[in-house]
Amino acid sequence: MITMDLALKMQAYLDGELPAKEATQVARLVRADPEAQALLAELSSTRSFIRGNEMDRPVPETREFYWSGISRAIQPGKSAARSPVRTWEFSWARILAALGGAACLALAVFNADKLGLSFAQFRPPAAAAEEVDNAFESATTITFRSEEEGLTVVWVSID
Amino acid sequence: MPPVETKSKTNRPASTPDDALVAAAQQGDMAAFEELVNLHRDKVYARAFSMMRSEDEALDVSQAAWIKVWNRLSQFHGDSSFLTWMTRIVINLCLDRLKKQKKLRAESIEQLEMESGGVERQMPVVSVNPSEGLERAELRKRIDEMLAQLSYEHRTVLILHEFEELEYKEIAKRMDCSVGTIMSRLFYARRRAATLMASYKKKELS
Repeated sequence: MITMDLALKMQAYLDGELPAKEATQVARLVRADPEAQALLAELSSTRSFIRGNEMDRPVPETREFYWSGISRAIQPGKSAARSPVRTWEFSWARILAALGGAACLALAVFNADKLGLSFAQFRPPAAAAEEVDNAFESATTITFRSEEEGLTVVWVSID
Repeated sequence: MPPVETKSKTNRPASTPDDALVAAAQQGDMAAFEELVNLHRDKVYARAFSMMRSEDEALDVSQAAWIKVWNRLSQFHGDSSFLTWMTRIVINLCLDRLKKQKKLRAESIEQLEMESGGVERQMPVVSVNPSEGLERAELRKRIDEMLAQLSYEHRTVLILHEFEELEYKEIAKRMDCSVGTIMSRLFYARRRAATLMASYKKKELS
């Protein structure tokens, strides 16, 4: 009588799931036992006739009806669902564009006079120019002003 | 000695007709996606039916799978064929549904042996080839009838191993049980399959 343990090992041997050393041992055992040979032959035959023989079964709905069930579900989210395939170049391009914009803004602020830009309308009233006006309890503001350059920069730091 | 399976990686062909459709669908082309659905809907539905054994559930699961695929198309990188990737998604949905319906239970080998009484070892060995002389369509029909007679656990493990050609470890992971349990279930399923197919042949000859 073949033990369950041996039977499972024979099956694993058939399916290529046994390590090489164990596979050799099982092969030797099977060769010496006609009952084991018969069982292995049956397992092998069963595997062969089942593999690749799933029954063909057409969808029991018309092409249009079946598709309509799918398209209704995906249509509303079409623009959201179908984001373009993102590449690392695309991500870097976005980062560089943001940095470039910030750099341009900084250049404009610090070279306002040379560029002929006027931030005069943003200059705080003279009387309040030197005061630090905290809008938030925990905020710290530092004001830089240059009459020569025609430039006022207010740095707000919130802790 | 019957031939023993050796595991090897299959190489995908450089490009398939699906590749252009998938690429277009990934860019949001619904018409291309519809064409993919039309090309593969029957196979996907057939797999869902094999597992769920209900027309309504198979329709529901297969459509849910297509919707999921549409939402995950950007994750398909061509490591396998589109149909293989699609089929894995429908299988996972089937497994989720079967688990929710509690039709798939994780069991210990001891429990399985207790329930079956080791009957799979007591079944006489089938020495004739039950598929001999059968046209392919008839063979497939009989295999389908045989699958219908198995429990969900045994049918599922047979489908995942023989149709999907997954390894024991992969099947165990998908079915949330041990490799030992998978081996026992597969052994029982194969022995039962052989006995059933032999009985169909016997009826045909009598």
